[in-house]
Amino acid sequence: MISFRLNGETVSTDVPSDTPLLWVIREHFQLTGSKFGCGKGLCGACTMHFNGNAIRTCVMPVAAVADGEVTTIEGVGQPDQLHIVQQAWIKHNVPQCGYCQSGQIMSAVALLEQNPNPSDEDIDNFMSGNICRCGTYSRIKQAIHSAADAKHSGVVLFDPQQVQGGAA
Amino acid sequence: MSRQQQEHVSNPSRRNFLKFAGITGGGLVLGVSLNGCSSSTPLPYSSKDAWQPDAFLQMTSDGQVKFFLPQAEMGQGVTHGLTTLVAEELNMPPSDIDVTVAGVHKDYDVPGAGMQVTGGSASMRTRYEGVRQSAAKMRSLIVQAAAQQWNLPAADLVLLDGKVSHGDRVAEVSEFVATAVALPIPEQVTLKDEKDFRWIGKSNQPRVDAIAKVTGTAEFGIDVEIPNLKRAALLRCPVIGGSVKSFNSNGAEKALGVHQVLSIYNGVAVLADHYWQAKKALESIQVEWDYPETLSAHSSADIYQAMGEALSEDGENAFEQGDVAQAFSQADKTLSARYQAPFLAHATMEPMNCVVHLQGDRAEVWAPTQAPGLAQQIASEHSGLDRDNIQVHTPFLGGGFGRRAFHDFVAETTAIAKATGVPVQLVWSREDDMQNDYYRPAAMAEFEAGVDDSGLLNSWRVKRSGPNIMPYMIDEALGMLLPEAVPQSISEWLSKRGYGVFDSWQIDPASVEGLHEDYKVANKRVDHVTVDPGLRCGYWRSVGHSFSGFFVESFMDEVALKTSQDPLEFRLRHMDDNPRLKNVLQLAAKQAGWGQPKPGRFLGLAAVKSFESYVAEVAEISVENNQIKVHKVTCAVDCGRVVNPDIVRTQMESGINYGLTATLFGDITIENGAVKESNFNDYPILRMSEAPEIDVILVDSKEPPTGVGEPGLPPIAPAVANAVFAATGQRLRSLPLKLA
Repeated sequence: MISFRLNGETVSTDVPSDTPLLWVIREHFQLTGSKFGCGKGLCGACTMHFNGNAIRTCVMPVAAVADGEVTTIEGVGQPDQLHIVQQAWIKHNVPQCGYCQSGQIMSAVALLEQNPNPSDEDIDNFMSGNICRCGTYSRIKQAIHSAADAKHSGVVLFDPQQVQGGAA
Repeated sequence: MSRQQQEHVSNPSRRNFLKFAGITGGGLVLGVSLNGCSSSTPLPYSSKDAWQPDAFLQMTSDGQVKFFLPQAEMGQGVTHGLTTLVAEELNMPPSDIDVTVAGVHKDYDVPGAGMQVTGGSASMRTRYEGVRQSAAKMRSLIVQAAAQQWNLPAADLVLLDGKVSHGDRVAEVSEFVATAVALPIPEQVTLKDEKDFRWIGKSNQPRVDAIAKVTGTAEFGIDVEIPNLKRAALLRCPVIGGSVKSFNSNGAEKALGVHQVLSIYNGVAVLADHYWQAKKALESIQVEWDYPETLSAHSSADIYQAMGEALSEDGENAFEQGDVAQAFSQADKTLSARYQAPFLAHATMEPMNCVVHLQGDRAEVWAPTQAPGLAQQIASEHSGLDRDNIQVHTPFLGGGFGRRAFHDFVAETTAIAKATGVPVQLVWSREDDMQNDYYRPAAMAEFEAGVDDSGLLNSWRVKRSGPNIMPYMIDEALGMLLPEAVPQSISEWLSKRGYGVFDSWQIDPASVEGLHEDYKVANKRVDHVTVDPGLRCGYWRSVGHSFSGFFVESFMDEVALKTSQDPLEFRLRHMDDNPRLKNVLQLAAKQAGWGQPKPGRFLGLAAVKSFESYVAEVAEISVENNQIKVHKVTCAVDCGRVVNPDIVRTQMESGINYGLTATLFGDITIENGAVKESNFNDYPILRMSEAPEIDVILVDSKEPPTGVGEPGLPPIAPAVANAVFAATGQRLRSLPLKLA
């Protein structure tokens, strides 16, 4: 039996210890926001946080997170309570197909926690493990800068209750 | 046997290539739907408790508007785009409309296409009028119903944000639904005047799918969960088209969670409680394969050699204008060059997957598909159930790019579900996905141009060689195109011989599109020679333009420079008949500072019309340590009326970055019929550190809207290649670009 904390709750599982964390989270704990992309740690679609660090969970055996803290996209923010990085993603119109974006956001959140004022180069270095086939990279970069600024100033970047425009 | 087949057979170097592929028809085939469900077939998702004047819109008794989106969302923004049209005519915010992807029904066929498909950058172009009409009718009926209930002239009432008002009197639309149901539906209504637009042409709303996509709550095919669902993984032949001769499970069926090990038409499947159990159990299984003869005989080197040799054959004529031979003889100068482009994988971020639940004489299929009617047909062929008894649900697609117009993953899942009798989800690994694609066809082309003494082109001759997409599409779609009365055995037989059925159509338009159209030249000729090693091919973002754009725009650059003309000026001199393309080229060149590159930077430009949209791009690059670095791309696009400006920008960015992967890295190679590339380590995708800054200029136009999912792609490879020539003097005529 392997126990760990998942989005703040203690959970346990009896799956074989070499099962990749991604599949445990998706199929046993039914949190499907984290995606399967490559199975080799090459694309970042499966990115979660383990003890605050961005990790590729398609190659991380579940035993490796025993007694640790795992956070998924579902633990970062909810549709009615968006994280500032999620708000920035909407403000900059980042997602297209959206499949890689949970992983992109998890990487970006980890980046900003470690480096609150990243340069373009810092962002390139940190985010280059996350592939986006729709090519949303320049918007991701802008969104990360916006989220960094907003974190300092406390500005809300997107509030679903206050969608602007459309004056009749 | 046709004349062309005989020629092919007589060419000894081409003995093992498929002989049929050049003689199949074009996109025309898709327009020949002979049946499909009749208009009296009930609409999927219809409800007794809701008012539904037509296939697209429903209003529940509490006034909620539901829009049945007739297109698939694969990132291109069609959910927001078409919902914007509904919102505009119903005069309410797009975010207040409940959007469901439509099921399969004839009423959702793309106008003029004869089937329900998302492709060809056609959604906005083909739906703009119809979706607006549909919503405008609903608006008109609600207002008429209110006028009737209030005994006032309809013209005095205002419908705004889900409420009808007359002066201070205001009521929710729900109060009028019951009356509206009984009113006759008008044939045609007046659309909203553009001066009153609140949403069309404005970027004042986030995409309606944005919140779901930043919170992990958007449901993709891989996320579908139904009761008692079992997971499957499938071991396939290393060469596509092979089948199982025999296999030894080595006890795989005894592994934890595994229910069954079984062979289906193309491989050995493991059915388990969980995906990882199934995937892991596959490792112990040994299979003896029956390899497909033709494809197994080929490797990349001999395929390209055969394509090169084919360029000296006459081929089939695809287009002719004027007298090319005479014009060449009169030319002041003639130039020629040969270009090449490889097979490419789509590599959607979401690998292929599908859920099939067979329930007696009915079935439900959850398929991330660009063509749900085809998914239904394929599921019908592999389950033996009637098409009309199969309900197809289309979740979000984690990328499409043409890959999901083909439904081998639906076929496999249905076969496993039929053999096991349980609801099944099949998930492909990345390796499965990379090695079992419908690839962008490789292509080679020989160009010849004649230039007169004023430096103008007087003649243009192109011959393209390579495989065609159409035989593979026919194999996929024939069952749907034939009347259901044709027994399956016959349609299967025809499917394998689709080339014979469509013998009269000589050229696949997708093989030659874009090779001559954009520039004014009096004498032109395009010919085609099919060389098909049997590797299945499919529609890949921008289809034929993905290679022809590179070929034509590289060659234009060569001709300009070899006749001592500026590449921009030379193009403009040949664009009098193509004012919209000319305009975007001028806009992009001006914005990018054409002629004045920054120190150490080099510019290249290209312009391509594709799918009725006009796009020009200027690439700003540098070359350091023999590496090409693309710093910035300036793009100008004319897609007619811009419905969602920011979605048009994102699609240009997307097409450019997708195209840059192909420009710099993309190369699928074959060894004894097997695709060698397997994952993102050996099929690299452009990453953030390699992605350029992109500046997009939108042309303000009142022409009818056209699509943007694909047209951003074709100009990028030639723009970069032309910049590389400016930087290094190396003319790179083969993709991906590799410096000497």
